[in-house]
Amino acid sequence: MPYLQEKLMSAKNIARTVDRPGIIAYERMNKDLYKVAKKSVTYYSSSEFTTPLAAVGACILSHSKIVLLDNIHFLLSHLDPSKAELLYLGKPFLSKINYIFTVLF
Amino acid sequence: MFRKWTISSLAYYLFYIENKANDPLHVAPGKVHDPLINILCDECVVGGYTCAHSHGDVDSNFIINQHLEKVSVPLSSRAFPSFTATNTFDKKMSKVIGLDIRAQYAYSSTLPLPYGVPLLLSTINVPSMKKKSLIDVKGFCNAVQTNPTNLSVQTINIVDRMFKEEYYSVREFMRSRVLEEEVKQNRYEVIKCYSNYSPTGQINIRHFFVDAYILLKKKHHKKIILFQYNGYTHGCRPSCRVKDAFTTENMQRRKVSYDKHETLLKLVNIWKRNSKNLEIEVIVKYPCDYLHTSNHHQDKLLVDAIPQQQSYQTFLEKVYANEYQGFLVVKNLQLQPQNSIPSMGFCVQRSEIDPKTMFTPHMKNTYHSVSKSSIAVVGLNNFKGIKVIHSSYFLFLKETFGFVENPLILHAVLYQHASFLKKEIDYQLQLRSDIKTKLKNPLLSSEERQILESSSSRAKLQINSSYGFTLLKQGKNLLIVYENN
Repeated sequence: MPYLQEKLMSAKNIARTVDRPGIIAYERMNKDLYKVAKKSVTYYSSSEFTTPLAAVGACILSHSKIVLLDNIHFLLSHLDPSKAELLYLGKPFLSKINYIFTVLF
Repeated sequence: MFRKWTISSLAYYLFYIENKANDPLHVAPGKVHDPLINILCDECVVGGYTCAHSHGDVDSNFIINQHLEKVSVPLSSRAFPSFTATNTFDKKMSKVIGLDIRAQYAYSSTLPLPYGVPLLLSTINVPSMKKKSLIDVKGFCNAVQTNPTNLSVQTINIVDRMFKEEYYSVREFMRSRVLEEEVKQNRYEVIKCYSNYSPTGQINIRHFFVDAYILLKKKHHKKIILFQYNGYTHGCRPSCRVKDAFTTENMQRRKVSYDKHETLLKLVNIWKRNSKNLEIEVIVKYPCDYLHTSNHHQDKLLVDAIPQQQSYQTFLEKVYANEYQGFLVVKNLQLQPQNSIPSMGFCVQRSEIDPKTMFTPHMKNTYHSVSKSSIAVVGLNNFKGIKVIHSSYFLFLKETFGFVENPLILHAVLYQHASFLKKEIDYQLQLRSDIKTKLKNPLLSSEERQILESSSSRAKLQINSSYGFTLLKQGKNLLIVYENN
């Protein structure tokens, strides 16, 4: 996940940035050169973030996933696999590939 | 007087703050400005509930679970008691039964949800941090590869001092003055409650921010209490005896603050003169007012409840004990193979799907128009790479399947959690249930039936909006910010 930004800085400039917010790591490359890791990413920081309540929505989705998976798990663990198979769950529309919850193994 | 509506306060006001709008102690989910926290929360948003397990044509010739003959991993009898070594997969399908797992979003919205200000924790390398405020990146990487328990967890975002002081001050005012004195002793009822932390947002009088605005009512008498917290940037109270209270800088700050306060009082006097049966009180508090009180730090913010630095093992134990709740950035989390079943992956994630190599013949036949690789929501038995999941999901996976190795959590965005939507959602569900019962009456006229059906649809829309609204993007122009003069 590319949320770290790396930058090379000289030893002279490094002292000025030690307390700057957003800087989370330094790595010394050689005597005069440091690699600096920042937590901001250019393409995300172009504007203020756009989903102010994403945390609430993500949490609701996580809870609902647990409900669904818990039910599936119950079925899978108690159905006789030689007599019943869980073939398909959810609404019968699969028009958009982005929303297919499929199985890979 | 005007109110500035924010995106979050508007959304919450329209959909679910009705029952919490005037609760003085309720804290609304705050808008977060930290880009990393926002990115992590956004990465955790994984929708998609359609689940397909496709082999080919599903008809009377379809052999049930034929693919499981190839399974070589021994499944544990504890986890899957019905799956035994003697299972033979030669039976053909006789009928299809439809199963419907209902009310997930509605029920999920009633469970504990994040609110308040998040805290960002990062896993770091301890010895270097103790030496100086630099992280030894190579050492960190080595520890991650070999033994993450040697690492430590450090709080990254430090909540603004002003925010903290104001939060505790407003909470103390709400608790002791409003609830204890006015509501409990003087029998007032809270009609309106506006603050920076309540879902309805902060109120302004002209260009003055008011930290808390409380409208109380007892029969025909109304009382408004305006609460203002003047933090350290406003200087100290004139009667303050703190040694450094009379510095030049402090005096200048105090003068500006006092001028503003005088103007506010003049406005309040005009307001009083033009209102009947209305009492207005302005309360101003300074940091020095709390110097000798120790109990105003109740309902601690996460930043004060969680240590600045702790060992990785302690952090993990707290997550396992559900004491730390929020979003976790996990790396290569793998479920116990003997507890996993190969027909279904329980680690739901966005992943790159290549139709050419990954689709079964049936899938290729059904989705022949899809040829390019794209991101899809899939279920696997491990989280490939770095993924963000909620701690409740993390615990569900641990308790149901167990993990192969000690999980590596690189970051955590912790929130306080509360079931603040339960009352409203339960009300809407009960309303819909009652309407459905009424609709069973065969004696209803077509007009009555139509009215009931539209009420039922409205209730359903409100329930569904409880989560959908939270994921709307500002950039889509579906949400607006406006001022209500």
